[in-house]
Amino acid sequence: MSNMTIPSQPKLRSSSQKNQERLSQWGLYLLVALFLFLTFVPVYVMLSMSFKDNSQIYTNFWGLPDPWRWGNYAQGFKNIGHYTINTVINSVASTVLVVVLSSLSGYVFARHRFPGKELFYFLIVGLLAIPGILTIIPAFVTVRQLGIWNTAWALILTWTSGGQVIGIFLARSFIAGLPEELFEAGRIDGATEFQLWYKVAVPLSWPILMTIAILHMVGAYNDFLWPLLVIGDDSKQVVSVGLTQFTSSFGVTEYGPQMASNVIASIPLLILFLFGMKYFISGITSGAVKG
Amino acid sequence: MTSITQIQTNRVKARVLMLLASLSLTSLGLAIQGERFAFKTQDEVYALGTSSDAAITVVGSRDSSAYVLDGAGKTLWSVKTKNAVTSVAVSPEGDFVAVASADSTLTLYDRAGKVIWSKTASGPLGSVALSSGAERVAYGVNNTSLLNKDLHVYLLDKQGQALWKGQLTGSPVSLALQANSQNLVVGADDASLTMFDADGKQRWQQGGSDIMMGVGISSDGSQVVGGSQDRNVYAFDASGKALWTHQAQSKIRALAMSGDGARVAFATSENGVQLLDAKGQIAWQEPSQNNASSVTISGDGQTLIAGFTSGAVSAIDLKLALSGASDNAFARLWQLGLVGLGILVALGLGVWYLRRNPKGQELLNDWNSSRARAWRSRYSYVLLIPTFGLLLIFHYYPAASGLYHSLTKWDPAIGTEFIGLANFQAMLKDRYLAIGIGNVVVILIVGIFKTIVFPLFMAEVIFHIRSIMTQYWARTAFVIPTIVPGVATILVWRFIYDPNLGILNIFLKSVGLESLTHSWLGEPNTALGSILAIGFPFISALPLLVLYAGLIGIPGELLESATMDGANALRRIFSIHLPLLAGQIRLLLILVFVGNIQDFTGILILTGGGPLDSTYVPGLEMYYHATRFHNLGYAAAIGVALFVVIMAFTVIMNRFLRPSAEYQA
Repeated sequence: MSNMTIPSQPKLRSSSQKNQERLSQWGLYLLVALFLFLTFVPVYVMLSMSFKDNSQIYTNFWGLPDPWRWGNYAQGFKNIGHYTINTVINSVASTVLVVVLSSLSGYVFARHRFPGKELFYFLIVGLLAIPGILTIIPAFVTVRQLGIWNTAWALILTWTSGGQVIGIFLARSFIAGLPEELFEAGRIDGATEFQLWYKVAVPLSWPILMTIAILHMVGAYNDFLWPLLVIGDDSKQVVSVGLTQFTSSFGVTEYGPQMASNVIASIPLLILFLFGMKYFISGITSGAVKG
Repeated sequence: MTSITQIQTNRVKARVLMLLASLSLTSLGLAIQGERFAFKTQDEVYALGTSSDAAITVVGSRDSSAYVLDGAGKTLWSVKTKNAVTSVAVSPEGDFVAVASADSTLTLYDRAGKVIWSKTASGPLGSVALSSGAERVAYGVNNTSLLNKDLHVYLLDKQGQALWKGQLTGSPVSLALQANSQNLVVGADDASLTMFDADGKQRWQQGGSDIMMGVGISSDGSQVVGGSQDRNVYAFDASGKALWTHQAQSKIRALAMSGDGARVAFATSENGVQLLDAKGQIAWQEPSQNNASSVTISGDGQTLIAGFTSGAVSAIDLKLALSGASDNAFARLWQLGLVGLGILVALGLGVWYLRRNPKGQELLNDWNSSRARAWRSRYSYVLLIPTFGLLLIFHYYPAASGLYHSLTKWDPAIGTEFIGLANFQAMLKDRYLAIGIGNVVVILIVGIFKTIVFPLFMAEVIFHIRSIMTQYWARTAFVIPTIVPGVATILVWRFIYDPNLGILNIFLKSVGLESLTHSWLGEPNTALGSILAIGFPFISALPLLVLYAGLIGIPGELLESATMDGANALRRIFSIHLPLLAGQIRLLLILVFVGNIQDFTGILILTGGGPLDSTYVPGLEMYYHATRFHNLGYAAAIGVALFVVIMAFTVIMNRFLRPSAEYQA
């Protein structure tokens, strides 16, 4: 930690202090590089193993694959392709619903005045304090009683129900910060409540809605326990559960195709982050601290 | 005046409720078509066996009893064992009954209940089978403990003399003996299905991808089936060639085949008992859909007997049942429609009753006037309906249900019995829960380092870099691994820990530290540590970003003035950064606590609580009780207890770790 010293008095900087500063800056770079290297070791392992077979892993662990086993990816796609597609469909459907409900209810709580408003709002954000462990088993029974067990609805509706809670919280505070004149102008032009929502509130709160969408999408895509409980059919299962299905197969585990499956499972999130990383980062840095 | 009105409303409500209740009750009380008899044991039904004409049926239960019933379900005789009855068998003619129990005892009885012989095996008996006239008795020792695995199947003659033992690759879990004892099929816990001939020579072996819970063979040996925990029913011909595979909706717990091979019945953990035809197509489905634990089918294929985790046994005449099979789906639809219609009629009647009754009318008016203000803002409420509709179904109701059912013995299919605090008392004596609490304490302490200390260190390092661009790229680079799904990350680490191919052991060997290599996840001493080390060096996106954003948010002039006063970097970190990050640190502490107390995904995937019981956590115990032991009330109680702990912690954190030193401008 001592190499983090930063010159104490910038105005009276001597040359030895300058050198010391340069040295400590290099120390910081080195630390970042070391930690980044360690952080990326598993990612490297996943990528390089995905092109090898078991004997190559054994004989040539660290090096690049020789030859490159592209067949692992064909096998990997055969194994988890349909799980990945299921997950994308379900999580996108749920994300759309969460964005719609968050902006709608967020708008109502931010802009309307009605009896019981704060009580209703408390009933929603209070759920942030209810841990999933209390509700997961009863919710599982409820899903069975509703007859949507083993259907995509069991995932989409429950994800949506849970995801809108933080969404409403974020959307309300964002929409409350919008200038009232905009809504007033809309009312004078004779816009209905519904029109005020989708013509004024939604376009103006687009950044926060993107943040809500990306945070929710990442969460839904990663969910494991709930799909494990409520989806019985292999053909309807999601990717995080699907990935674990090939681990206990008969005989020796071939790691190459399994690693290729892991890489394939990462692709949808990669695409999501290519254009949405800034929303993800701003969501975590701004929204989470307030909660 | 108001109190009278209230009483009136309550009466009206009660009448409406009663009407609704009676409607829903009639719709649920639908008996299984073709049921021949029903029977009930004190605990989960572990094993069933029946003669080829179903005149003699044996029920083996976890309540340490075997019951022998006649064709009408009347108990002929029963025996008590020292432990749960794990397997039973009846000879095709119904002359002999074999009972195997978890106390390692195998006993052969005649039809009247007289002991012919009894012997003790080296471990709990997993399965037993009888050939025609009990000429041959086969059994497997289901010793699944890691150290004493018995990988043999044993064949005895009628006198109990051992003829041979066959070597397997896993512990035998299920057995089926051809009626003329020409072939023996064995399902094992390594997912294999093995065929032996009469002399104990292995003929062929096939496999699924999880424990083979039930096997069957037709009386001519031309068809062999296996039901696996991987949810599949596999069918093979006499030479082991795959014929078909049927995928069930949930794990298969037991399986049986008729003598002609035309009917295969299997019991599933969550979807009741189902029947397949010779081609592997669903022919019939038991309508109650309870958690089934055992099944058998008579040799003539006419009678199916199903056993459930609740202890219920149901014998079904398949001829009658199959004739009504197609009506079932329609019947369900009708029921749903009727219930919906009933609710509508009841509501209509309720309103009509209120209108007619002067007191009721007053009530309606009162209701209207008090809501007049609300009526003006009706659109606000209408717009909130979708949100609250979802929350009501998937959050409020389950939360209330969890709180209530923690006080009950809960089986949604059978019924709910109020037992007060018995579940919570049982938790005090739950050994696995005690181990789990110990582990969770370790996980929480390590979690503080993983989620706060390491990311804080890296956030400070990045914050002290002068170049803003480098800060930006460093921060972004640490977010990138988030694109790998959590489960994929866990699986990559599993590979890193692999004893033979894993990077960790290979690395240790390459630097000459071979003595330090372990089967990391397979040894009780290293398993928990290995799980905790996943994600090293623990710079995950969320805590890093939260802390880094906190540092950026500290006003520059504060740090400048401290620097002026001659405070060095360490001093500034401890005297200015940490107090001003109190809000962020409190948030992360709550996240560490709430997250780690609930999460068991990694443990479920990597060790399942093992090896031995070294990696149990309370959440896992809850999950097992809900899914494996069908002990939903107890699972709900664990959920409630964890909820109380989490709430208490959150309240304490918010009260005592107030960011009092927070910078105020």
